[in-house]
Amino acid sequence: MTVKTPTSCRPYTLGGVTSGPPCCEPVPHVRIADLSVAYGGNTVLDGVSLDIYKGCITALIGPSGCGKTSFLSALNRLTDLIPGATVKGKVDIAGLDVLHPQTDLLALRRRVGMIFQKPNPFPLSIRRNLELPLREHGTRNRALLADKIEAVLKEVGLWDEVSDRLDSPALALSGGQQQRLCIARALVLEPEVLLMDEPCSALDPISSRVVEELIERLRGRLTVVIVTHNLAQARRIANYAAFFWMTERVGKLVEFGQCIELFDAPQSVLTQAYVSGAAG
Amino acid sequence: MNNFRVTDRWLAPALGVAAAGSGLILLLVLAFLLREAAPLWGSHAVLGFVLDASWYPLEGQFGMLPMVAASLAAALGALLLAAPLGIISAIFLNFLAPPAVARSYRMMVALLAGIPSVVFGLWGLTVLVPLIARWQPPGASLLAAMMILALMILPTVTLTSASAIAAVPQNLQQGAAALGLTRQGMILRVVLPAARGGITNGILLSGARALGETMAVLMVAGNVVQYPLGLLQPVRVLTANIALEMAYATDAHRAALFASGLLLTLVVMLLAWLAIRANRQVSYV
Amino acid sequence: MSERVFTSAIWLGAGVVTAFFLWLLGDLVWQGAAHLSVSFLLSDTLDSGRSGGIAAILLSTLLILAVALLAAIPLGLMSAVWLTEYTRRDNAWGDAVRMSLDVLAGVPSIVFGLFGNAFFSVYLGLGFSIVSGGLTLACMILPIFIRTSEAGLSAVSDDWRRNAAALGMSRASVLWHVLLPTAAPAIAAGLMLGVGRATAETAALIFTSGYVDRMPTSLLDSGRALAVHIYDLSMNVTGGDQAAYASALVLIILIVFINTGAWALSERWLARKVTFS
Repeated sequence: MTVKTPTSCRPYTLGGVTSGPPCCEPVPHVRIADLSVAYGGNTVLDGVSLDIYKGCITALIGPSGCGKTSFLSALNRLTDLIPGATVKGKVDIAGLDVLHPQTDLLALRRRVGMIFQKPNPFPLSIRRNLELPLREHGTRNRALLADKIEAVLKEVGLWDEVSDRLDSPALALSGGQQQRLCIARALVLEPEVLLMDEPCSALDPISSRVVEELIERLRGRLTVVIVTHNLAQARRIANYAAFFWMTERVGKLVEFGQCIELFDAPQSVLTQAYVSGAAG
Repeated sequence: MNNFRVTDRWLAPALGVAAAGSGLILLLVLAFLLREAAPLWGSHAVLGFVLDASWYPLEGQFGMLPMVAASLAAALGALLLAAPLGIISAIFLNFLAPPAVARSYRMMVALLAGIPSVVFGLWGLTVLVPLIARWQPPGASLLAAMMILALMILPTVTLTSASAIAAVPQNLQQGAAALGLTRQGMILRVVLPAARGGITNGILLSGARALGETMAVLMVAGNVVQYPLGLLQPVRVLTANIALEMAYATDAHRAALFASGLLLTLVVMLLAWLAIRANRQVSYV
Repeated sequence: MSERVFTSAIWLGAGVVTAFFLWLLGDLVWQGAAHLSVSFLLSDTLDSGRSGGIAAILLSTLLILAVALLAAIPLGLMSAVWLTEYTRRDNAWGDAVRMSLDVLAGVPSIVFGLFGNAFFSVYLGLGFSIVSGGLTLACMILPIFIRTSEAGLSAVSDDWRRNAAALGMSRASVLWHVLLPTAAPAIAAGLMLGVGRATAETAALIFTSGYVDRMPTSLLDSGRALAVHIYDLSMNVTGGDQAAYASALVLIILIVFINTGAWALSERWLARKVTFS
């Protein structure tokens, strides 16, 4: 496994293509050391170590089944919900030891939000969908709730579309709107890190593009980790990319580095093969 | 601000206690049955269940065999009447009835399933028994019990058989048709054998229900304690016996009634277990 | 057997079943409607039930059902939630509880009557009372209610549970705000099925809530349920057949309402599932 730690994050040109918009400072935000995940004795991910940089968008790419979703789930301890799941290693988010048994999960999940592949707002009104997490974490003041809801809906670009029907069922929205609502629901808690598991794959191309633009707007304010099968998407929006591959039925991290370098000048043969579409 | 671990911390144990309570009801039932029947254990009365000539509780005779035989006879007779009719109904629902007719028929069967046993008993007492009495008095007899029970378990047999038949894979039926079998041949020789696990399950469960049925049989069977030697003879089944005598039974008599209830429960549990096993059978056609 | 004979035999069989059903229903409606009237429903029992009405009986039946529901709903819901949320996958305790409930569902009603008498009436000293009857019925309703509610809760998409966890919501919160409301129609349907069974019960009530046909003044009074009334009228009261049929008609109509309600609720629940999947 090769890891390249960049010394700077300015836009640069490689192979005639200029890299994406500038990333902010390369400060490690989430540090993962020797992470491994197993379900009931069956190891799906082993020996993963990397740093996720603050404010940047990091894409996780690789074929299905090599542990990318398990990797994400370990970062906010969602693996606790799966009976028989064991997670080993160390995950540190700005001083918070994620995998420690005594860690306050409430605090962790306020700082780390997660978006799933299939948009699934709760079967409640739009307003209730956004109120519920806020109330759960202690915000009771109605005026404050209304303000936060309006702010976050504007941020995801839904305010104009739904401001007049906040009490209508969330499930009546279109797929793209539902996914944006889910993102809003995660953002309303003002997290530092946003984990996204293929957020666009269940959407049509236009909605997908809208969500993509939304993710790009988050750059600099949130650290985003996004699993995607869409390599073009990764190229478009990600600053960093981590390539996972499966060896002997166990997922491993093969290469990690600046996105543009991974695509145009990868260090590993496997990476080269994958990004050029030859394998996986 | 709620720390969610506080609410969740007592949620799990509270729910667990409730579930444990629900699970323990069965044990409670069995425990109290045993407790009330306890005075008889160890005494010669237990042998009396089998050896005594008949049931004369006031004289200390607790021979249950005539009533056990009556229960079995009634249940068996009911099954012999209801099983064929139920399977025929199931075939009707799945293959022969036009969709509108099938819907109505199914609704009718469901309605029949919901009729309480006292209502069956009432009808049996006021309509069926006099009818049989015209043929041969007294009318209240084993036959009446069998017929009423058959009517009561018919819906169960029908609906479980219909589900079992519907669950037979389409390709089996298509294969049979491709081989040139007539519809009758396909139903009788392919579908029914394939569904026999589910059908047996339904029949066994219905048998258990027939054994456990009290009110309807009480009202039409005549309630004379004797071996079921003739269809038109009055008989008393175990369940009816309990219902009739509990009101005034004391001491050993009461204990004997509880013992008969225990016996009934064990037999019903055995049948239910057999029914589950029948359902698990993979039927090879 | 030729195809024609086979088909005829099947239609004949279905015809026989239909004939018996119509015969039974016809007698019920014809004999029952004659004696049925509004005053029948609202007046007290006279002359051992030969005349007068079933007002006291209806009240007793309602009270017995109310006690049964008050006991069964909390216990049943909590058990169903535990089974769904904490023991879904290969848990020995969960399997034990489920099996216990399945066996309990098959216990004959007269045995419940014996148990109710021995435990509630004698051991707990509640005597022949509405409370004894109601609690015994609760034991009978629980298995079907719990299994149906469990099915309803399990069918609710896991996505919501995961999402709620990712948002840091407590299990209690997601249950209260999302899972239970979504599963509510299925739970209600299961409840109505249980109530339908309880309303038809006779054998379990004879020795627990008793025979008294006066208007009950407290839950510890003995009360006669509708099904028990029908039994008494037909077996112990000469000339009570008319009143028995009328009561039977009322009972059937009540049960049809309840079962239709259960069916409609479960249909609505299915419809919801389809829209939301």
